[in-house]
Amino acid sequence: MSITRHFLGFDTPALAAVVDYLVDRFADRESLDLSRSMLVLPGGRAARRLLELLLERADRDNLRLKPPTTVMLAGLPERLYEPQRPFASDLTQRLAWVQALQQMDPTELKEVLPQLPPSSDPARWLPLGEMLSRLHVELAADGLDFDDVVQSGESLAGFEEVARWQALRAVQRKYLAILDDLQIWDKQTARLVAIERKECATDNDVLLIGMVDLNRTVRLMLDQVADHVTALIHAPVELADRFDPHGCLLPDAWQDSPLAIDENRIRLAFRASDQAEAAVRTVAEYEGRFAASEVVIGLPNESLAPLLARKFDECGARTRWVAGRAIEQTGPYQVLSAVGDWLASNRLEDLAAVLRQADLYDWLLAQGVEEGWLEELDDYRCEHLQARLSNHWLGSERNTARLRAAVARLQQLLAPVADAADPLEAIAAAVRKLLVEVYGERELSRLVEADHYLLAACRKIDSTIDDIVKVDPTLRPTLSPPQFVRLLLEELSGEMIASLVDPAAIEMLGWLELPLDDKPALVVTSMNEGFVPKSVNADPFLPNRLRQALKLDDNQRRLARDAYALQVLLATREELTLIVGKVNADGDAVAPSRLLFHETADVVARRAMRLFQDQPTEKFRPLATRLPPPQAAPSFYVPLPRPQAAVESLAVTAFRTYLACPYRFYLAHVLRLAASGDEAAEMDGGAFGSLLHDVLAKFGASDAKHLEDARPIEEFLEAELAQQAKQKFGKHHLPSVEVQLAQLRARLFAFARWQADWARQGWRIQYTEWKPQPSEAPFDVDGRAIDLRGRVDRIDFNEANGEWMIFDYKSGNNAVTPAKAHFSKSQGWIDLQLPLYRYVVQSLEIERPQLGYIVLPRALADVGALPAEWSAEELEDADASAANVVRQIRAAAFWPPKDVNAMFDDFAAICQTTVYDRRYEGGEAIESLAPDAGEG
Amino acid sequence: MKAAKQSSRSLPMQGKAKVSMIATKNLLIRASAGTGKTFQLSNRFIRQLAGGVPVDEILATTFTRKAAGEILDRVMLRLAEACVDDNKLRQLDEHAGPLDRDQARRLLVGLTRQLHRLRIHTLDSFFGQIARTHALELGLSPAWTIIDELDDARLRARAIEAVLGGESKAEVHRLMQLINAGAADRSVSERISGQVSGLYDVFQETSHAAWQQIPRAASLSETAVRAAIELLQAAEMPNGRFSTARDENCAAALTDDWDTFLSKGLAAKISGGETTYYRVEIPDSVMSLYQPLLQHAKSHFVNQLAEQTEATWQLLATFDAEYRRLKTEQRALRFDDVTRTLAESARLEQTAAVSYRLDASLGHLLLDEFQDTSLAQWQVVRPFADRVAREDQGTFFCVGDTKQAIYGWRGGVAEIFDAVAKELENVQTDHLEQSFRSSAAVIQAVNETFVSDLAARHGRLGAAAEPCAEWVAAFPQHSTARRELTGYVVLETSPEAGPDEGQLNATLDYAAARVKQLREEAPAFNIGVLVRRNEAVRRLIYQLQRLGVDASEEGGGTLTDSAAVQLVLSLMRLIDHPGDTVAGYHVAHSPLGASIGLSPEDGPGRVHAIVNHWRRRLQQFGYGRVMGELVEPLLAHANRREQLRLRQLTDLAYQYAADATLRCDDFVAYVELQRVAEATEAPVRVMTVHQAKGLQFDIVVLPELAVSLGGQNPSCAVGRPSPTSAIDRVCLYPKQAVQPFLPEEIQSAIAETEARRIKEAMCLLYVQMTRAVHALHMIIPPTKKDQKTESMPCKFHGLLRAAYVGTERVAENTVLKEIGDPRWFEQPYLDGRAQPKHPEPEAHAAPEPMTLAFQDHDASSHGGRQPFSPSQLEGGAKQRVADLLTADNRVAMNRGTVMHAWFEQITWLDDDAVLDESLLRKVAAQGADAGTDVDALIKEFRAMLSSAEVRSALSRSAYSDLDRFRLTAAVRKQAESSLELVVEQETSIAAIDGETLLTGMIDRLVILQVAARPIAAEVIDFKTDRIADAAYLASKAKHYQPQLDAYRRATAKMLRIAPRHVTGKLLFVNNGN
Ligand code: SF4
Repeated sequence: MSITRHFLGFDTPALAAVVDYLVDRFADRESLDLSRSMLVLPGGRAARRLLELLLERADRDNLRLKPPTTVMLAGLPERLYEPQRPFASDLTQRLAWVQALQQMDPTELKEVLPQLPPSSDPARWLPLGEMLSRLHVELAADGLDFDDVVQSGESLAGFEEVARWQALRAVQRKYLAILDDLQIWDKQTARLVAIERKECATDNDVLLIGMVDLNRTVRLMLDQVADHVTALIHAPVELADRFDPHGCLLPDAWQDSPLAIDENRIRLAFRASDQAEAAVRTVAEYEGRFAASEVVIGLPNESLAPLLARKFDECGARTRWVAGRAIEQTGPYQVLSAVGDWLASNRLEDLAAVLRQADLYDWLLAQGVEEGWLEELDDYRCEHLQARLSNHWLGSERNTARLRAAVARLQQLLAPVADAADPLEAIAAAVRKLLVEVYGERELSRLVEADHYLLAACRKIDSTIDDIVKVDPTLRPTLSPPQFVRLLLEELSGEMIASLVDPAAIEMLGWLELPLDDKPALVVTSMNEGFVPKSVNADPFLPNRLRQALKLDDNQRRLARDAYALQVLLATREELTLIVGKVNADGDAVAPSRLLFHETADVVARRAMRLFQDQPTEKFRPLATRLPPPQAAPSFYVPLPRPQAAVESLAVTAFRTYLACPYRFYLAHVLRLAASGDEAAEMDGGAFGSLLHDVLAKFGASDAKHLEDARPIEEFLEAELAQQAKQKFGKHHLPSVEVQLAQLRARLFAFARWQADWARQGWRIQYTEWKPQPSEAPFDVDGRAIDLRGRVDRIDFNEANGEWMIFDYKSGNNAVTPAKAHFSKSQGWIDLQLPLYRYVVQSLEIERPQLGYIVLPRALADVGALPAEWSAEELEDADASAANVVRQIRAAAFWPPKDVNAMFDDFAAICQTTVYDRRYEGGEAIESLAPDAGEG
Repeated sequence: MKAAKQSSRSLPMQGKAKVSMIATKNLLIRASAGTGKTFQLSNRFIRQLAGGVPVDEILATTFTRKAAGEILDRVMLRLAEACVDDNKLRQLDEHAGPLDRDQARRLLVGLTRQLHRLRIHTLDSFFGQIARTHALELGLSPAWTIIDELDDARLRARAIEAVLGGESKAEVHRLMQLINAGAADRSVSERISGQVSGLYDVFQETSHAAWQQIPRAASLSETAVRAAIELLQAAEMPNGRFSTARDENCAAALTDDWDTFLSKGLAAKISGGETTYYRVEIPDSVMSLYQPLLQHAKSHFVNQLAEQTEATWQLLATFDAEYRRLKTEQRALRFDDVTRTLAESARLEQTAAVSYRLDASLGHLLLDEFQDTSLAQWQVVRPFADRVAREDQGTFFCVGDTKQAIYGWRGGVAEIFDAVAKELENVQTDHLEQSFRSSAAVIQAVNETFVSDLAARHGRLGAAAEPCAEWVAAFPQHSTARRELTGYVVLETSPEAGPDEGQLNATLDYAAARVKQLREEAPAFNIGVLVRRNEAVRRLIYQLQRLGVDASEEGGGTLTDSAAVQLVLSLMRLIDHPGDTVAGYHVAHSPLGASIGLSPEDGPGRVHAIVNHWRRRLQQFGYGRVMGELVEPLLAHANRREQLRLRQLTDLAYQYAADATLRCDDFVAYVELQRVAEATEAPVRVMTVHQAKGLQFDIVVLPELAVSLGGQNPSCAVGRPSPTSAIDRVCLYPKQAVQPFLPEEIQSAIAETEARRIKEAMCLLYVQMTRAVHALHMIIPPTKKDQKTESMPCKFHGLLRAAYVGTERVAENTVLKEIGDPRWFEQPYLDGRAQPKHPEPEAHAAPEPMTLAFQDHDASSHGGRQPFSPSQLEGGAKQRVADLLTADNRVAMNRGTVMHAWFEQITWLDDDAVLDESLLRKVAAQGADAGTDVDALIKEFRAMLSSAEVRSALSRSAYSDLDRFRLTAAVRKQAESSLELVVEQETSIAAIDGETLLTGMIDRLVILQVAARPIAAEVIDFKTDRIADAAYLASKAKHYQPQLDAYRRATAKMLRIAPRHVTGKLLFVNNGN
């Protein structure tokens, strides 16, 4: 007895025809009893839709419906026989492959795996297990093992891989033996055994719907129950000779099947965004004849989904990408991923991510931790340049209170996971508990988008944890908690969570879903080679020629399936448009689908001329969007300064900022704005300098300052540096800090040599880090004093000649003289620090002090004093310039901004430094400097 | 606007002689610019097909994905055109034939059936295929992927961190000291990262030995130095000046400061070979006293360079180990890793085995742009090339132009092209110098530039003279087939820069004004402005936009030039760093602040609330969608350009979303890195010369010719024994002053490196000039007025001046040289035909926009009901994660599954009261986990069966009282006389329930029938919860009620009876309940 074939014709979409058929065959006047029918469909969506159609029909005809069993093709075999042993999960299979490989003598594996990964690293073995598992599954589905490949290959010209497959066969034997020992089977083997023992049986009517290509295993099983099986073929009976007795496509019959696609149905789009545009345009051309729910966008290339969603959204239509969201974009996954990384590394960088994960953030808040830990972490990282978190917190407790609280709570939360040891069950329980702790108490509703994804993600995580735990102990790798989490996440990766139904949305479906869909208007994008049809032209194990020889799925069968699918679409859709791209989203050129050339030679030529043109030629009407139209001029401004309280005191270093840019002075010194971040990889100029200052300050305050010998000064500085570095950086600092400290030490040693020499010349440090009390350093401008603030690094006195020297330490990489630092030929005074020190120290009543830098640059030979050599007139000029600055600050003259080097400018974004079309608030004063092309 | 690429209208018409060459088995074509490279390649391709070669035996490779697409288009288009157009057919017959119409059709149809077998690839993608199919043999993970730029930068930073913190950190400190040569640089990470970015490519190409080629020079011992200094100090000097100079030298020598020593006074003179000092003869005695110290100083530098070079290798090797480890861990490769892995593998020698897995025999190679091939790439391709060149049935074809070799900086070695003809068997060479692109004026200008005595004419090229002379010596005279084109070439000077302005900027600004003028005068022609550096692109784009000229940047710029984008990025920073008051200020004082509710007065609490909200949204809904939400309110404040930028930002966010991290900083870095191309090409396009490769423009403007030929000093000098062999010497690039001390092999490596740079510069000039179809405008700076004597610059414009006007000064705003007709765009073609009409730029009156419109939704028409299963209704619509994930739940479920299965074996307890133990065990075996205590469960089950409640619920007698079914009197009467009871176990239900599609399973359904027609039903759901007390029982019952109600509704619908006739019952099957 063979399978019954029934042709549904092309008059209606497939599922509607199936309903008619079922009613015809199974209904009486009052009821439609399908309880003994098993409907086999390719996917869940079609199954649900069929059921919906049946229910609608039953309602309409007032029939008592006993619903059928619907089965996905993948689950059909197990409905036809009684498995005699439990099945090995996918993960178990992969691990069994890994074990099989590892049990092999490496020399036997030479042909397969000339280079073995280190056995200690499960993460590198699993992909190998996966690769072999997939190979095994595919071959076994067609009833083949690796030996069969050796045999078929031998007759294949150019096949030189006999030895390789023999080695693989040996691995396969080991693999099967491993499962056997565990008294489990993989499904493929179980099916083959059932076939061999003729165990397939069913009481049901098996109805195959849309099953146009079946593998050998399924065919053999169906053959054993053939008298129960009907293949419902969505095609007119005239095409019967293109289908085989199982109702599947005869590949040869479809290779040249003419499709006769109307030229108007094909649209050429250049880039991915043009495809989206073309899709929207096509739907606009329907001019309201359909409801949104009657329109489907087909996505052979799924990466177009966001682009399409966005384009439709702009034009005012909602879309729904049925595949939904990747699990990677759900909270629980993110929590596990962030936590896993942190547990593995203990790096501050990973902690920073953990502390920003939204669900953990909310959890911390719910635990009563006071907000502000992010700010504290940023500061902590920058101040102390820590690579890892240690038990010992650095710096003042006050600066890290909230951070400490947050970290302590987190550590409590994670302790069960971190401390869980083998067995895996313990780790698994701890991971579950972690999620329950973070999410457990929330009341979630399945019909709310965010909750739906959260629940679904938890379910998937839960079942995946189960999969891992259920692996037989002999196969399990030993995993630390972070490794467990990593394995869990890898198992989960790529999982999609279907989106909620949105009846008012245009649905976007994958190519495979289209033939059984029944909405009347369809736009298919990416009608390109590689998508429709897909092809395999290179393969590490099964290149197409070998596939052909083995009668595995090959390019011919792929083409046949898609040719048939396209024919279905052409025959049964009211509207069908095919969009062909030229360049995909990654910028790769793609060819049009070869299905578009299943035409007569003349049509082929004309169509090729159209589809292979290298420039767009068609012009379109624009699309109306719901977005606001562009303005004549943008209104993103550099904000004007707002009036603030009068400035009564000024740091001497602030003058430089004002002279460089009054607006930035306003931002930095009046508003006290400061950028923050946590990206430092090492001490920057500021940190490096301040550490150096601190060490030198200690030196100036110690008795060592009197020394005239370099060596003891070096010793002092070295000890002091070590002391301060320890306080500041502890033990877990970034590795570059250590080298930097060595550089710092080198500079200090060079300083020691200079200092000794300087002391021998009679100079002694009189004051270190000296600063005036409030109003001790008035600077009179227009009869009103402004209070100068500043801290003088050191003031030296020479007993021999009674001279005074006011010094500032400079630690920049390159030594710059005070003259150069303070004055520019084109701009005049650009800094006033040293001249103003004369006023800062006025209460000391020093007579005619000299001013200068002590520079500690990278070139150690240059370390030493650089006195400023300004004349009295020049200093007076400096004073005048300072007075002018004070006047302008008093007048709140902070406008407009000036251009400064964007590299070191925290205010570049506010000042629109890199913006073409810079605009200032409240004025047309837009003229800005063109970007400098520099010199070549 | 006319197409920028060569349009098919102007297909080259080659002489017959060329046609015979295209059939040559192994052919190498030297194709000068614009001579139809792609045309030749497509000829060859089609010829092979016409000759019966299966399409998958032909491999055509090129360098860019765009070029690969163009080759495909060209092959298909030419065949298609030949099918319908006699002229095209004749052309094809002539160049790729013999070919008649039928054949053309057969080929075309055949080809469209084989599109999936076409092998027109970039080298990278071809190599990727090999590496993918041979991952195991190559020691790669089967799951390897290409790493993106940002992740790569992250990996590198981590590798550097590991280098500094790893086991070898003491060694690394020592190396850093050597590399710094005694100076104490602040930066460490930055510095290593600089070393890596400058030198890692070379490191990967070389062996350790190559870095050890600087021989150490003998130096004096410390005591010997002291002795020599003492002798010098004691020596008698001719005068005071001599003494001072000597003292200064000695002081420097004493502190080991050999830099100063050599650059000052007598030491400088003597080492420079001079014999006098301030016109006074240096006595021999002094000379000889200086000798040992000079020798020592030189050795010092040579040794220092040797040490630095060696230390650099060590450092790179340490980095390399870490970087590789990280890449292995991440299963990530860069394209050049793929190439190198393949080049180093012996596997590739087995070309047949490789071809087998690629599913093609690859008997015919067509290699495009061959001059840009790197050594490693050639190593991979070579076994294939060798084989096809040797075998009778194989063919080899490559096309390139060493005059256009401008990719040396990324490993291209033009000499490979020259070597191919010698290294492969039986390769014939052809060359094309006739342009099918440029007007006679342009070609004349090219010919007059690269004249054979160019270096001599210039006279001041120094070390650049020789490579320059070599380059022009190999330059063939060009001609053009497009003699009909009108054309114009001009070399002119810009104004001199003002006092506060750079000359480079001034010249660019002048050029921008010239572009505007050209645009107005000749609106139908497109313009390419080509420069050397990105900075110049930015300046020009800015100036052109200011002048109102619609100009686009080729390859696009980053979005950071938009104020609106900057604003959104500030918000991203604020989300990541709520303490960043700069970002906060920026956002609060803007339309973005207004739309997200952040005002300047807000304190930290409010800031937190807002950024928390958006951080959560970004993580939950992805960057793409949320960026859309953030951007939308800003659009109303934007002009066209800002709107475009904002939409591009959203696009980037969508692209980024799949790899999003928890850090907004990463997104900011991503945006700052991505170049975004404009949607449409503007009539004026500005780009670097490298981006102009393969393009052509009606008018080309070259405004940045005043840049030096060599560019900046490279990080190192490298030498090769022959141009096509591997690097065998590496030396960190030494200071000018040190170079003369170095051994000859190293000096030659430096000279070689220099020569390459100069030749590449010549190529750049050639490529720039040959992009022009009609007109070429070269704009250069004048000689500065305050410059006393003219010293010819060693720059592009120096060469041009040498070629056209000699070495005299050039004044500002002057036309130095003109060829052709400045009003060429107004003239008919030179052969008298009218210029083909270029379409005028698009008119601005926009047509009426199209709108989307839909019918109202009707669920019955096309589905769209949310599938729903009543079991999801447990506990009502709300659910808790805790219930999903608790482990003890799992034991209960397991027990529950078994219990359910057993209860479903019961039809009526009054009938089959005894359930066979073996049956129970069999049923349990299917549902239970290993380790379930089946014996205990059986006991429990039996106990329950004996409970009165259970017994009565599962007995017929339960249906003797029909009150609860609320039947009408008539029906009830019938029922009392002839009631039939049907039990269905584990029955599936389905019903449309409003907007949802209910599906599920009912544990036990009892249908009350009269005459085979349902009149009522009871739904029984077994529950296996462990019940603690009555209150708990009540709460559980409430928990399950919504589910039970849904089952009842569905059952009623399915049985076509009124819902009131369906009752529901929860049966808690648990010990004693
Ligand atoms: S998610 Fe898509 S493929 Fe899976 S069952 Fe649903 S509709 Fe089918």
